[in-house]
Amino acid sequence: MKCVIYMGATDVERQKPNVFRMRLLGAEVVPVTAGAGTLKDAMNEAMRDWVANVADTYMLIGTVAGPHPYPAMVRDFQSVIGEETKAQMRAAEGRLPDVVVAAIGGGSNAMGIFYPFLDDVSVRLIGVEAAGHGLDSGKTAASIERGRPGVLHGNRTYLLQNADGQIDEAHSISAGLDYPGVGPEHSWLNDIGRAEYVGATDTEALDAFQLCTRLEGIIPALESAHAVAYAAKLAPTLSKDTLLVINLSGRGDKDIFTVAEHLGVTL
Amino acid sequence: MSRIAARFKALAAEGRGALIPYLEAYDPDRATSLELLRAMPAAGADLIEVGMPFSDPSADGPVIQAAALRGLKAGATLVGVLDMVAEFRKEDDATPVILMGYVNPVESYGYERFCKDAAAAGVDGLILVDLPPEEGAVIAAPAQAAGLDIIRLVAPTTPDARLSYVLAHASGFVYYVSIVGITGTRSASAHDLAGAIPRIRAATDLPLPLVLVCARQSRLLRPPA
Ligand SMILES: Cc1ncc(COP(=O)(O)O)c(C=O)c1O
Repeated sequence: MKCVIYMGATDVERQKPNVFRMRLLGAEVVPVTAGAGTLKDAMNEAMRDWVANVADTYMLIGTVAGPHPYPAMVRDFQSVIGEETKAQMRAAEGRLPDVVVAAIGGGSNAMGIFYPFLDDVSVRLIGVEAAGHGLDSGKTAASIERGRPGVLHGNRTYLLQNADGQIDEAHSISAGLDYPGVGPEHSWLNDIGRAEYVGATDTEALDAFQLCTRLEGIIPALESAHAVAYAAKLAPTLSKDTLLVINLSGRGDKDIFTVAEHLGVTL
Repeated sequence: MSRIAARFKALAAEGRGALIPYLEAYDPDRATSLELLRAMPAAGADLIEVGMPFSDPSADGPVIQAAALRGLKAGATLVGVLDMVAEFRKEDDATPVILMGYVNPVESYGYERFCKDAAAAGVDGLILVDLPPEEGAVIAAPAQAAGLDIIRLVAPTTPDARLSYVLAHASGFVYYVSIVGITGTRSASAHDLAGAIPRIRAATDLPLPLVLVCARQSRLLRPPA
């Protein structure tokens, strides 16, 4: 079966190791140069391909966004993360966690870990958006915190947009968080107050990336480092026996070039 | 009778089809696109579709994507697009103008206010490509109150049951996408159309223009000198 992957040209550049892996696995990776060449533009292009080839093509979206039923389907698949967290926490600690923290790009890893806990109201669910240069810098990907409701890619959700309803380009150091929208179910969880949404900046994520690597010997994805950053801020305010789970959604091997560049190191 | 209905009635009486060109507003700038718009009726346009530039035209091919980006760079806003139509209307009170675009800018403007302002500017119908009939209630009542037609898209992949559902929410005319794909990539063959037209005809009495692609700038629509 042929596999075509649309990826923003900017992301092809900053996710080179992933692109190489996908090509090794036999996929065709098509760089999309429209707009800022990031996830939103790749989504547009994938949808264009799909509507032209719908008879013999299946479209997959790598996050809980897009038209129905994609957000629900992706959530259901990703919810293995939350199910496993629950089971492991019960086995290890005999109770539910108190806090679950996850990074939010489109929101799939967060939705996956949150979902099985939605009815366990004692569990605080915290989504960490990419604040980029800062929530009020205008260079952010914090759709829930700085966006307003609108319609994009077939769903109604919080969007970074200008006063005319034109979609803004998002900004994050992390390719996977660089999206001006967010899965619609997160918008809903925000509005009903079931989950909290906060931000971590590029710099905070870079610091957390290094901290986690040094303390734990685990190189987290830059995306996940946003969750680590917020958890590191939150943890000192919680009691010692709090059970706090951070969703390490991916490994950071792919990000060492980006991180090195920001630290002024040439590899 | 609306301008759209009047125009299709006159065309039927003359026994000819409608030519409906598409023009992206503000491409490459406001003045040029207004000049093109004004020149269209004399050049043979029976109805005109004016594109409202959007940052993410996900149903459009490369030509309209680029046009929309140029339009936005030139400062297109919905207020500006309506104003352009209003200026066109000062000279032409008969040629129907249909605004085509995506729903988010309209939602941002406010459905009710937009329908009122569009009708006041002389707009006759709206095509919002990413507003499916299931979600169409947001605009149905304000459009009707303002006398605007909501033109709906159907495609070769639209099954019969859905065809009736979509067309139950349509007015003005039916926008038959005619190919499976995005705008501007290819035209349907006579064979495709021979099969499709009777199927859609059976489901509606609305006029049924077809979407065709001009591979190159046609003489008919050459910009005024
Ligand atoms: C490792 C990793 N984590 C998180 C994300 C963000 O996506 P989502 O919010 O859908 O989990 C990405 C996206 O590419 C990713 O690669």
